[in-house]
Amino acid sequence: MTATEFAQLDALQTALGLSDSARAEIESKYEEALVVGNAPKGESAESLVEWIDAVRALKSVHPDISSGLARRLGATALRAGIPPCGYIVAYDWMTQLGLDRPFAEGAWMVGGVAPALNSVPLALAPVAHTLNLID
Amino acid sequence: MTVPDPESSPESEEGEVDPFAELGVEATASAGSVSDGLEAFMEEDGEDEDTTESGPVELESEGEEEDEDMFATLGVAGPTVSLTSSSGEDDILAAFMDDEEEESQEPEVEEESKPVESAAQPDAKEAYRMVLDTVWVDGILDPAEVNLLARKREDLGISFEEHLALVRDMLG
Repeated sequence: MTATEFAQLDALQTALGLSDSARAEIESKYEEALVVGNAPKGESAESLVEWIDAVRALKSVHPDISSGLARRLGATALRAGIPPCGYIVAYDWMTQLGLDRPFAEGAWMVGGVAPALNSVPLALAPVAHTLNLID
Repeated sequence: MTVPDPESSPESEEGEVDPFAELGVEATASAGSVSDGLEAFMEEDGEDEDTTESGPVELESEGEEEDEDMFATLGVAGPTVSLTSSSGEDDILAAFMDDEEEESQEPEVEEESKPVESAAQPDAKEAYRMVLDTVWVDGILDPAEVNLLARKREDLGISFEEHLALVRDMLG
C-alpha cells in the first residue's frame, strides 16, 4: 500500500465522517481477513481512487441530489425485485453514506414512486451490486 | 465490493451538464426498462421536482434522460455503471399495479409523513410483522408487495419508522 493510497483512505474517512475508532475497527477486521486469506480484493488502486473520488463527490453535492439519487436507487431496486439479504446490506451501506432514509423511502414507495435510474452513480455501485442491479 | 472500471468520461447527451456524470455515472439504455414497473404508482407531479428546488440542477420527472441530464449539471466525470434488469417482469408488475395505484398512493404518503407519536399497538405490530414475514417468503420483494405493506401500515397505524425497525429486526 502506498502513501497515496493511505491518503485516499484518509479522504474517504473524512468524506464518510468516519471516526478514527470506527476506521480502526474496520481495518483491524480487514487485517484479520488478510491473515486468514479471505479478504476481498479490489480491482486496482486506480479504481479505488476513482471510487473514493466518486464518494467524495456524492457527499459534496447538495443533499437534495444525493438523497434523490438514493431514493431513485431504492425505487430502481424495487423494480428489479429486492432480495432480503441484498436489502439489509444495501441499507447498511446507505446508512454509512447518510442516505439510508431516502433509499428506504424509494424502496418502500413512501412519498410517491421515484423514477428509476438509468445508470448508477459510481459511488453507489457497491450498493447496486448487492441489489443485483449491476454485474 | 467491486468498483467498475472507468470506461468513459461523462458527457451530457443533450448539451446539458450531467449530475450523474459528476457522480461517476453515465446514461445507458439498459435500464430504461427498469422504470416501467412502477409507472402505475407514479404521480404526475413527479417527486424529483420536490428535491430540486434548491439543488444546482433542475430535476425533472418527465423522462429518465432528462433526469440524468440534471445530474450531469454537477459535471463530474466517471465510468459507466449500467444496470442489469429484466424488463418482462416489470411489465407484468406494472399491469398488476394499475388497479391499485390511484387508491393507495395519496393516503400512503400522508400516513408515512406522520410522526412516530402514534405508535402502533403491540397487536397491530405483531399483525404487521406477520404480513412482513410473508412478503419475503419467495425471496424477493416486489412493488405489489410493497404496496400491500403500505396499505397494511395505514390500516394498522404503523409508522414508516416502525416499519423500518421491524424490517431491521426481521432481517438483521
